[in-house]
Amino acid sequence: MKKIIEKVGSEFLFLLKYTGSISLLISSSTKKLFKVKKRESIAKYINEIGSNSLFLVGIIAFFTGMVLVMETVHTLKKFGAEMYSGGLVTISMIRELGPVLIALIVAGRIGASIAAEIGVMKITEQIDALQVMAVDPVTYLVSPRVIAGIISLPSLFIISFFISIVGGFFVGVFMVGIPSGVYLYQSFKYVNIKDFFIGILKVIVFAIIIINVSSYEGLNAYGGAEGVGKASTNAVVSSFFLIILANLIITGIFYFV
Amino acid sequence: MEKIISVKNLNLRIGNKEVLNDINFDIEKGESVVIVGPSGCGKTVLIKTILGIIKPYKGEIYIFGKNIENLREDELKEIREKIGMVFQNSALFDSLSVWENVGFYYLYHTNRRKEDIKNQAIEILKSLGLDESVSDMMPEQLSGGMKKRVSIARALISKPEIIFYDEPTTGLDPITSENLTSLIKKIHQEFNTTDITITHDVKLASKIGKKLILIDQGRIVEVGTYEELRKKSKHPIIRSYVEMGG
Repeated sequence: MKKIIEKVGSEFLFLLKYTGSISLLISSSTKKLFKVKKRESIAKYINEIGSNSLFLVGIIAFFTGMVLVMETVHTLKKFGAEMYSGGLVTISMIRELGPVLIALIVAGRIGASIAAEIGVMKITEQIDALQVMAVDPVTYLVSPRVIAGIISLPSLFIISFFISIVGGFFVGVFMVGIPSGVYLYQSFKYVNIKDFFIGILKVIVFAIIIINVSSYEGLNAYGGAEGVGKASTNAVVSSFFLIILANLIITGIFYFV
Repeated sequence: MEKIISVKNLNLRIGNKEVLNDINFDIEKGESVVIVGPSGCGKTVLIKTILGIIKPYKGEIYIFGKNIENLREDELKEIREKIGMVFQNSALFDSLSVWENVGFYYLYHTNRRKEDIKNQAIEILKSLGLDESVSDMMPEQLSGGMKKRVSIARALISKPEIIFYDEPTTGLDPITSENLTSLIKKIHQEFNTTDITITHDVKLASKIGKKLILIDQGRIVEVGTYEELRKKSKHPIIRSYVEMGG
């Protein structure tokens, strides 16, 4: 029993220390957003985080739109309400699925890569070399990526929203036979500006989490190739956990309280 | 002589382990000092602590007469601008070409034209015996010796007053190692820099260091010229080298 309490206690302390360290990095990288010197690095990271994720995000959004209509249309049909499936797709995508799906895709695709890149820099003393040359690693490596993430994720969110409508439209109109005008009217009828801005807020928060968690894991990597591997895995796992937690908190604040 | 670095009562712990214990020494302007000791004795952490990369839990470090512990970020930056460092594994930035690595200091801190910085980088590379064609290569295309030279070029470009060399000849073949030793001596004479070299190689230490600081298990155990240590030191790392004919 004592061992269990000790284990739970140490895990809890670790979690506190970890979230505290991430919060410090978030605070530091946010303060340094306006100190970023090389604008071309932001463009490079937007390409990595945004443009290179577009195809995957697009495909997943398209399929998600299709699946949402496929799964709900038969139940709605029983009540003669199949024309509402378009609204269901848009509400789900804008409030929940869109932000969370995009964040998870980007965390998996980019989080591991950021942690590995910075981790290798840490292990091969490139981070120390930056410091010796009077370059702050957070300003040089983390803040530009945060800016790129804050630009890329909302863009992916908006694009994926429209692609998911197309996916749902494809099933609803061509396979179920809902008139296209009705489907599109119902798709946008229930979307309001509050949902849109909360969706944008969510993806911005998720972007900040993904970049900072991944960078933190990279900056604290040690022990050679194995250490870099661990940092990459931790970056993805911790990002997933914190994204789901942040989503719960934001949803609770805006839709529940 | 002007004291350029002063380390006073320096203690460093990593976790529960005492890595550096009561380290005290002064380095004067223009000196070439070698910190020598067996692998894992705390040499690299000592240099990183002097550079402010690792924070000590006790003790004071003065560089150019300023206690680095009390400096603001911009003041520390001012000091670091006068320091160059050659890392053990060169620590070149993988994503940048050779000339971008060498000119990184100016690329990041100034708005100078890239062409000018590239030309300056090429000049330094040439002075260190590297061909102009190397400048557009990526670090992974270079041999170990070439990487070390590029790393030295990067350290030299901002015309530092102090240069740190961390195990400069480790992993190099004997000929390249010999060439690099001569290069370090040449740079010291031509640029009139203050050099601090850390190594476990007593042969290298005896060749480039006017003063040797022998460290073992995080403590300074001997200080003196190589000749003095050769005569009086009982430390195994010196004795074994002397017995081999050094």
